[in-house]
Amino acid sequence: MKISRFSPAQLAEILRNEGLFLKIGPLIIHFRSEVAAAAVGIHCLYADFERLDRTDFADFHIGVAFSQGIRGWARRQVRFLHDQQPLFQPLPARLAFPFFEWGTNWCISRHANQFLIIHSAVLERNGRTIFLTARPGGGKSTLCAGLVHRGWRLFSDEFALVRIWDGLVSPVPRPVALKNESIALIRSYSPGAVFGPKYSSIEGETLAHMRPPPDSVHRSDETAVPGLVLFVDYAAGSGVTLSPVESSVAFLRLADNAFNYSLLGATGFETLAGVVESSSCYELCYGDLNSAIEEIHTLEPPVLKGCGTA
Amino acid sequence: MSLSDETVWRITQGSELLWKRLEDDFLVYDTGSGNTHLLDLLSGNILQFIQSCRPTTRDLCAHMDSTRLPPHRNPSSSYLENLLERFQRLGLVEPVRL
Repeated sequence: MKISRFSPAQLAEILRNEGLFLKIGPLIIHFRSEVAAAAVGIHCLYADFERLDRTDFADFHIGVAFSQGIRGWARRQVRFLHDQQPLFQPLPARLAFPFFEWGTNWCISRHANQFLIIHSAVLERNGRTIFLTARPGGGKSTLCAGLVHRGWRLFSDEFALVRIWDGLVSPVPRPVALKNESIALIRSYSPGAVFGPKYSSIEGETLAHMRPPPDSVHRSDETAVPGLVLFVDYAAGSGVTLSPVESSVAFLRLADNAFNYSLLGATGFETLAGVVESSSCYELCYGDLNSAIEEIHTLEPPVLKGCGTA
Repeated sequence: MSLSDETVWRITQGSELLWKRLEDDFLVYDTGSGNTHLLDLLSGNILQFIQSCRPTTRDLCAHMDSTRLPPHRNPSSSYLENLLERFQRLGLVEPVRL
């Protein structure tokens, strides 16, 4: 049954008791929480996901719980739990849902080693993916959210999961995290976009998550072939510049952005080479979302070997 | 470093090199160190030659002359000496102690 079919109170009850089993692409997450703010975020932003029946297996057993002792006094702080063990410093309880998202990111980046994991937004069109990698604040998520509302299927705002056994990319279409001005920009760019609650982070930034579109959620078992790699940089007020990046340079830059390239050893090398060999790679600097998306729509991935027309 | 013409070169024992040719570059993965190296055509060609036949320094000089690859169409023995020193520093090759 879809999450949206439960009332917020029912969902909160499930999260408090047996927990919620969610299938997100190739991963199964088991999430428990007694914190109301976490339930509110899940109800809004995972509305189109199916609740799995209780299963014997989950990739990650995670939770957000009130801190014990003085930190939990008056239920002001929460902890993230992985396999019932607390990780990270506690955060204010109002950040329970972002904590769930960040913690889930950590679990994927540290443990999903059946994939080469690259820090990148990923979208798909016509069976080929586009990777958007950027420094923090480099406009990756904003561009990702914009493309989602211009016909691209969301794979992930955060991770490229490249299967090490066949080189295909798996979707994990979770909510898109946006900050500060990007929130209003995407609201005006995509009036149909659904946003969850706004949060003020401990660093003073405003955060909000955009719900993944239903089509992306329903098709989260459909993999795709790498096609385009963009090294993105946002510079306010600048035009759009697009320049090709040599494959070997793109390889090294993607390796730098991978969480487990070294861990995977020769398999990581072969898998990443497969990504680069089937992709056209560019550097994209933009200051205007519309122009950047227009430019991206002019790009074509290379024809795959053995797939060319006669 | 001064090299004897008769020094024999090989890939460092315990390492296996995996290769990808991408446009005008080689990417080499060293299974021994776990490092990935980006090499130009000539450097990659020399390293592949060492991998294929354990050449002497003299063989390498002759091979380098015959390839005439960029970036050094007229490579000198000092170029080869520097290259072998860099390969050694990176743990990619070693002289064979006879």
